[in-house]
Amino acid sequence: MEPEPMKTEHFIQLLAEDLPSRPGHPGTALMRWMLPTAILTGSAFLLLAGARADLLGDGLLPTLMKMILGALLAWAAIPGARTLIRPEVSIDEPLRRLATIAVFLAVLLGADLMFRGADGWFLRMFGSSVVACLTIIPSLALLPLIVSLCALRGGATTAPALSGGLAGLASAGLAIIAYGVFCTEDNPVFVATWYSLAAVLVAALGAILGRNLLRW
Amino acid sequence: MRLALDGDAHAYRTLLGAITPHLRNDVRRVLMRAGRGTADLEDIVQETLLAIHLKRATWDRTLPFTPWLNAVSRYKTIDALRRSGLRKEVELDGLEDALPAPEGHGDDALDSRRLLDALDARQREIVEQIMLMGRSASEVGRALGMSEGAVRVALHRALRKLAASFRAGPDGTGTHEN
Repeated sequence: MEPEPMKTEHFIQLLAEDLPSRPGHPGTALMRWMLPTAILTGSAFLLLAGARADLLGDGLLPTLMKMILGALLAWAAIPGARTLIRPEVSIDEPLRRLATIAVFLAVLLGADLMFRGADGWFLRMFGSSVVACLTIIPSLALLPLIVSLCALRGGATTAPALSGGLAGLASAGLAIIAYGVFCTEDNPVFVATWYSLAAVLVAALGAILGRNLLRW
Repeated sequence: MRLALDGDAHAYRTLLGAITPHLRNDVRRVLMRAGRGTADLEDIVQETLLAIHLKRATWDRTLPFTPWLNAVSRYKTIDALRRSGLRKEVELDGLEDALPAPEGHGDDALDSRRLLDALDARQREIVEQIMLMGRSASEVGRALGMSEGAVRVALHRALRKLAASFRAGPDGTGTHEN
């Protein structure tokens, strides 16, 4: 073994002097910031825009369907983003839960086709609020996405784009829970198409931002 | 590491000192395999030590330490290789043979000057006093008329700045982040 060069020894001295800085865990920071931010943005939106009028009547079941989709997205993406804070995890582990969402969407579409048949499928897909869906969901997700990326910067992900993408998906999921209470488009085909597309857009934004912001 | 995370500076120094030779071997092996010289070796080792330090909270203390350590080392080494690869393509393509090969650790002084350039005067003073004179934060505080806490805050900022300047590379290209 060669002799220790002086400088690295001194460098270690420097690091040891900084030991009391005690960084907090980025996973804790993520939960502490993303969830309250999403709740605040979501409730602010619902206060301004109002819930759908028939929320407690005919609208209840479709609203629940949308909220379940949003909750599933968050449930699938948040643990993934948290796990990837650690540098030594493999990247396929966080992706497994995402398959659940595909199953849920398939069930939605299958049920719709079974009960209403294939006729008018295309019309049902388009509905009348595609633009609202594709703008409001990403807008609601933006702030939670930014704070979660800030929290994740304390982490040590070896897959920055994936981490950012999962943060985006989680933020979109939380945004969907709020938007679902407002939106009156109840066709499963509509929800499966446009809600998913909105979530994918936010995930893509998260991935692009993560690629740059989450390197360390 | 568990002791160190609880604030035992002596345990921390011992741990970092004990893993340094292993890090050096690992980094050297990767550099050799990539067909690179070992001129950047000590630089990468120190960058890795700094990453271990700044990211220590991401180690789950219920899990083994070695996989975490190896992952940090691999990430930093590959990152450094990629950076120097970019640099070589732009500036040094074909010039390596014409340049004198660095001897041993002869470029240490250069490295430390480059790194210290990233810091402001106060931070540089603190870093130099701790590194070169072996003073503690409280001793430095007394010498500079600062509280120990202020020294520690400045030191921590300085370390984060160092990490960012490592990432950016010596010519200041690359991403600038804190």
